[in-house]
Amino acid sequence: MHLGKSAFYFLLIIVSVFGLYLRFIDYATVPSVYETSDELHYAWGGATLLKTGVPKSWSWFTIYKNVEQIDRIGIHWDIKSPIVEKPPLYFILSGASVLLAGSQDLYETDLRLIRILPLFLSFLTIFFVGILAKKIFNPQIGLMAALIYATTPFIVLANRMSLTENFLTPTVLLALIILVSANIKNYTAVWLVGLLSAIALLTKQIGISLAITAGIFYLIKRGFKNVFIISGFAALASVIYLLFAYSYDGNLFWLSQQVFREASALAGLPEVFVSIFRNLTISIKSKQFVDSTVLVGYILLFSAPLWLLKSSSKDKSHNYELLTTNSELLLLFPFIYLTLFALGQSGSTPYTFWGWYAFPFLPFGVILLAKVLYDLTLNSNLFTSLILGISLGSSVIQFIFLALPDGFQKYWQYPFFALLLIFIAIFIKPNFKYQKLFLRLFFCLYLIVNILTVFNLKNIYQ
Amino acid sequence: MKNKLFIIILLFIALFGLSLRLIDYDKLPPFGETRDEFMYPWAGMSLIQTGIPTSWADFYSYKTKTPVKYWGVNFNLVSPWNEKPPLYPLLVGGWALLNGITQFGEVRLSLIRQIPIFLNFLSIILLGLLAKEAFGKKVGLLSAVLYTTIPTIVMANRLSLIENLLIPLSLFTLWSLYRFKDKSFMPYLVGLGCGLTLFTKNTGLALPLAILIILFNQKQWKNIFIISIITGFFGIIHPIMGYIYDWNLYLSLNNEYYNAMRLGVPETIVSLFRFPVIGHKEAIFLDGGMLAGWILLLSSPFWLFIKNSHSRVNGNLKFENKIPTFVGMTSESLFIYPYLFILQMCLVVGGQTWFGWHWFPVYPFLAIILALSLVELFNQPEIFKFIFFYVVLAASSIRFIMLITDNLALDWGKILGMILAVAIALWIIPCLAGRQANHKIRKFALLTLFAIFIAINIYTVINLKLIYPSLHQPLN
Repeated sequence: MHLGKSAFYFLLIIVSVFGLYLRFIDYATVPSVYETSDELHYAWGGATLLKTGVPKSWSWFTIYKNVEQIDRIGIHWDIKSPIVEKPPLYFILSGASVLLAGSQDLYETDLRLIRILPLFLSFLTIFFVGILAKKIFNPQIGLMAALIYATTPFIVLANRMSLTENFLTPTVLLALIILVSANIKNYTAVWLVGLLSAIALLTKQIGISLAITAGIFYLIKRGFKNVFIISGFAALASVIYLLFAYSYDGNLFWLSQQVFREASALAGLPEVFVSIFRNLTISIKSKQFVDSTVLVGYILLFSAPLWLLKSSSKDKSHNYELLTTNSELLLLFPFIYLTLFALGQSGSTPYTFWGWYAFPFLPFGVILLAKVLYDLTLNSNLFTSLILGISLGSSVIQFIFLALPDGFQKYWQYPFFALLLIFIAIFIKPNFKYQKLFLRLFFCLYLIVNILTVFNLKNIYQ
Repeated sequence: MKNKLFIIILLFIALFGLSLRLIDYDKLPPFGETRDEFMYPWAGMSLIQTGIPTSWADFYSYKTKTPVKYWGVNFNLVSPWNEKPPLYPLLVGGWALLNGITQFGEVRLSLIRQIPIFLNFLSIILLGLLAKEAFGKKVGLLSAVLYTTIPTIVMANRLSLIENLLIPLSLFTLWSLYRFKDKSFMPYLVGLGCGLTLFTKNTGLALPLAILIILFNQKQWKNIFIISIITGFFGIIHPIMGYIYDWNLYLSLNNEYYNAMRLGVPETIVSLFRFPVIGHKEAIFLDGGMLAGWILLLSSPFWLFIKNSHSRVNGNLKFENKIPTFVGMTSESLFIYPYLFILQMCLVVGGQTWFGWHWFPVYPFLAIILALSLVELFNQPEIFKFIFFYVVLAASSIRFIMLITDNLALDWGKILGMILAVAIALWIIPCLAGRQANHKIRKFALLTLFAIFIAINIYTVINLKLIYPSLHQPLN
């Protein structure tokens, strides 16, 4: 099916708006305010910074000397200041959005106000997922990726939370779109990527992954001036953060970084990669939300070097061996992020792995899932279809039966068996016409169940 | 490498694997890891001695239960015990009787665990032979080395459970299928293997199904017929036993077992990653080798089956020929068995009931797929592939060292960082300098890292008692 440029963008906007609508359903209560206090951490830090000039919020760290007490949502909070443990950008954005939404309380707890920002950001993320997938692969994969990202229940829940990762993700996606699209001699694009790299770094320390990604990209392409620009922006962002911290208390800043390292990397064994797979959660480890789409995305993403990057695809006209394809660029950021993540966090203890640390992987997993689903419509293979049938099929059946009264759960095997039988029957012999039709029907069913699950989240997610 | 040399090296690996499995084998996994280990020898001993199998069971279908207490643990004895096919109970029960054990309370883990350990000595050899038959000698030896040394597999191989008989039977059957594909006795040998597998456990059904699919694709109707007849013959023995002892009980037990397994909603694939255990859900044992194996196995249809059918250009498929739906008796078709096994388990098991040993039969294929991908990394040493193995295997190895040496204050980030620095030096810098890749140095580095990985696995196995609960079986 040919998809024109304007038709693609029109459909992508519809998908993004629909995704936004899904995210608005019960957005202030699911997940609840008790899911994580970090949402309040940023909103309070930002609001106080903007109103009083000093960032004040609650913090795990005991290094702060200035402590005052408040009571909110039935919890006694130790408000500490000045909060310098994390870069200030998301604090400012979160605080500003809450104040602009009309809050009079510097320690606002109303998620209806706090979550406006991530909802808006998620709209951008869906849009950028579609564009990036289109640029890397084709418009159909772009739309499929956007649809999956817009409707997957786990991702909908994740996108509602006001956390740095939900700002980092669209920032990275936009930068990658520019890297894919623009010529390396296009310096406007380079400056824009530099600016986005600085924004990423000012959002969260691990945001440096974007500057490294862009730096490696330009370095390999011999764009030395570009590397200089990116490095300049990264350095500028670091200086801004340092100046920000020093303007309050330089010693406190370095102490906070030391404590942060002790609380993350040195607090336990190196188990980040295991934790990503073991803990399908949007927050604390113990609160799992099983959504196979996310797991399949992780499997596809981290095994992609074996299946997406075949040496036969290398463009031999270059004298470098890395980043000769856009597919490699797609993997570059998540693999750099993963490496830094694995080096900087333990992941073994309850407080060294939080579900949101893995949010930046979600768009990449979804794009690759869309890619294999699309490939399947062109090339039938019993095994690829079975693996997807087992994983996505179990997700469909699981969500259907979670929506039904408990007494029905014991019957899940029958529809699952029927579904897998159809998969085998359809894919055991080549008949592309029926296979394509079946895959489209299955994809529709998968999306519909996901959408209905999003409507039903308040009943199945505590 | 000559065949003789291959066999000698394989035997050496298997013997080494045997010695690793014998270290603290009677207390690690600990007494109490699963009471099922006593279920089978008791059933086998009583079946041989009295003609009626008696063992412990908790199913409600048994109307009469006799409570007994051995080694401080309560058991409910039932008779006739007929939950599972009798091959493994006969094997382990026979071994106990041969060693002079006549009473249930005399059964020792030190004795009954000799059976799975010996069976897995055979499994290592068969795995090497099968992987060699399908993918060549290099993959054959590498698979055997991985299966021999991955700590989870070593521990799993010590448990006296039915699945540890399923493993050599399935490997032998698949090997026979490939090795003797042109011989007239092949269907009889394969039929016998399939039959014995089904006579071992119901989930063994995946093996004859996989073989029938392979042969069906090649239109080998005669072989399909012979294998089906032999498999059916063995497959019907257990229901006949059920009919002889108590048909209603047999049906009721099957129903109860089926209901117990399907509890919850379908979450099997997620649980594979969430509960990396050899026993019960709670006894988590993290092992990078296993995690890498599962990721690679589940993603293998996307890379294992496509290399000959089409090429990729710029990440997009470029179709050259009409692509078969699946291959016939080619190398990759041996993975039909683990895929079907997983499919079968996904259909049977829900999200609540979870026992690690149900997945033991897939372990040899995790070793093969890991070996295949490591060989691919070695042949085409690319940075992204390296990062995958780095994050999963290097981190896991450092974790094992920290646990064993009890040096939890170790700054593992620095060690991981040093390995990364080596990778950057070998991969990124030549790229940046615009130089052609020096694969020789990379391959040397990869071999060194692989040797360290294996050495740490062995060191971990030797010191397992420091990181996994161990407990001797009480004397009475």
